Amino acid sequence: MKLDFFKLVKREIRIMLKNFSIIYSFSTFFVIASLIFVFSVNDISYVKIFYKSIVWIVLIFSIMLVSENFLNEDFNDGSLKELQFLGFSEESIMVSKSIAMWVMIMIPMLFLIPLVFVFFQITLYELISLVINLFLATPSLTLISILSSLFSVQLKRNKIIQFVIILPFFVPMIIFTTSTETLFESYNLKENQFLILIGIFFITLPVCLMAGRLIMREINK
Amino acid sequence: MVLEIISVYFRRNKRLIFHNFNLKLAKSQIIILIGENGVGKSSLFDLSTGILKPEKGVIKINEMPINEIDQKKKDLFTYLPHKDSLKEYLTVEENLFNWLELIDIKIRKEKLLDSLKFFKLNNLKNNLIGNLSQGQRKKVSLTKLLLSKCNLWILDEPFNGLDIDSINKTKKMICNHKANGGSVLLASHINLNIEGSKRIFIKSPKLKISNKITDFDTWENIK
Amino acid sequence: MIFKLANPLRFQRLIEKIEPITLNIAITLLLVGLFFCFFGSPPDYLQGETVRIMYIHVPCAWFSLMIYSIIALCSIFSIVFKHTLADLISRSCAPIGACFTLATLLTGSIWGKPTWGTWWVWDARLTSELVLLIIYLGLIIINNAYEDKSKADRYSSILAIIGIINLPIIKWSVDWWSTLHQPASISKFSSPSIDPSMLLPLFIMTFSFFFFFISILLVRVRGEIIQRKIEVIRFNRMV
Repeated sequence: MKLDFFKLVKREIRIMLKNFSIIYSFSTFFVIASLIFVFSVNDISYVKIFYKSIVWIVLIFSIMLVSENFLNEDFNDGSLKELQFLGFSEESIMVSKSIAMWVMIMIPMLFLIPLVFVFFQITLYELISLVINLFLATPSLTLISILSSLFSVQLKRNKIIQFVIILPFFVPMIIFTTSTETLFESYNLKENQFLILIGIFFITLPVCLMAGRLIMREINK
Repeated sequence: MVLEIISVYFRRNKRLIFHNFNLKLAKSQIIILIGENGVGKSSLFDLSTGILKPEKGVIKINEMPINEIDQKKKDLFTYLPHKDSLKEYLTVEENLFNWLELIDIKIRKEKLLDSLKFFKLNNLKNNLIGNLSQGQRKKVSLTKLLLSKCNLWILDEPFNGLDIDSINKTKKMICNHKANGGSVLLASHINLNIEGSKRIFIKSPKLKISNKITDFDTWENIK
Repeated sequence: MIFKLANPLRFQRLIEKIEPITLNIAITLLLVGLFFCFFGSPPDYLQGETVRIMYIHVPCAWFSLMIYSIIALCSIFSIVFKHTLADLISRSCAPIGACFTLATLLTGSIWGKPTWGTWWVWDARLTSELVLLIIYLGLIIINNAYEDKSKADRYSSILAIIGIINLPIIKWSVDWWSTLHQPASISKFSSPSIDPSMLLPLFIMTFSFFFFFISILLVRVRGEIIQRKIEVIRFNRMV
């Protein structure tokens, strides 16, 4: 059981590393999209204030686009079905995919975060808090976006549904990662923010696994 | 019995495609399912490998109900579905090694090359799957059969897109497997014959739901 | 199947009998309730006449949550027992719930303009109610996205189950974060912080909305049953 799971993770990572172009396109998309945000703000001093929102919105959309690639390909060439009839449990398939995707996101982030540091001219303290936020929130983000692409994997047209149905579930994530103080003034978020992100992860994990299992049972009909 | 399908009912797209369907596959037996398109051959394979669940009925592999087998599924059968599950950006060799690792078989590279030689694929081993033709892809997935150690082979349209030479080779391979005590369940929409095989013609059952309004007396009927 | 309930034909006839009764009750109660709202209750000493919007706003908000809970329960039921009736109910509930949520948000912002001085604030309860509306819209979209209706039902029930997370957030958002939106004043039955003269029209309106919801739901379920029958007949002709 345990060995099976590591086998799956190894397989996913190996396949992902062979398909390295997706990492390039992910990081290029990230840079270009944040640049577009920067250009759309006419006063550069605003960028310093809005850097969190820019980074997180771009990150969410790029993760969702990538996750579609991860699952649709497997569904279309039949390997998702193969994994299922070889006897791997749906949960382990889903977790292994999210681990591979998380690695895939974190590798370019190592190079992109210094870029953010330079682009948005933020302080070192802000940078550290951004990095910790990234580490804590991306696991839940990948789980949710894999779930979202599971929802739309059988749709041949109208792929935008994926964004419509799953974006509301990113709302708490966005609120607590960017810790919008104006939203919840009285609640002291600064200190508890990291704990809340961990808490959100422990809610997302079982819910996503349960829903993913239900969808994967349905997917081959 | 290696594979047993006992009174299975299955519905797809509002249509009852299996109505009290029975099938028994014994040791060292080949069964060829022949039927038109859309008669439910692929669904039958998905049912017997546990991907789909029947509405009623039991499916047993080696006398065990399929939904009670979980971890050892990969040692029981080798299933080649219609979609070949080969990654286009990996080479032939890498694809086969990935598959071998999933089913817990460790072999040396030389042995893999030997089995690739069967379909004369050995000089294509470093080509990407995306660059191969449809027939060559089919041969790559058929090579999996040479490498597997399972008794039961379930093959969905194994002869599609193959040339005559390879069809004969595949037939020989299947006959060899039978001679060694294995059993094969395969589907085809053309009327082909393998010596020593049993052929079953599938027809879709008559529809159970009539057009009369009074017949909508169960929720199943309006599903 | 564990639950057979009744056969669809008998169920349909039952709906035809119940539906006019509930609709009549709803209209009568609505007229009585509106009379009490406008003439039978005093204006608030702080908010003045605008308090009368509450008689629409509060029941709508309650029903937006209640209908979602019905959808979620039906979804669990449909996943466990695979009964078609649960699918039909959750499918027909979604647009009604979306309408109630929209009404909540609209009346709330109409009330907010004179009271808070703004149409909209980014407050926890308002935000979570907006998220509820978006989830309802997602359910409606996914119900219509698939050609195969039984597949759409399965997917939407999974989405509905995930969306349950939002319900406690809406309910207790006023307690967890001290928001601009006032906390619940009806829930404590022993000593409600609301005057009985205001409580009466509120309850009459609530019951009226309830019967209205039931009658609309029944009409929609009947429509769904008929539509499915038509589909089956058309499918049989085709084959």
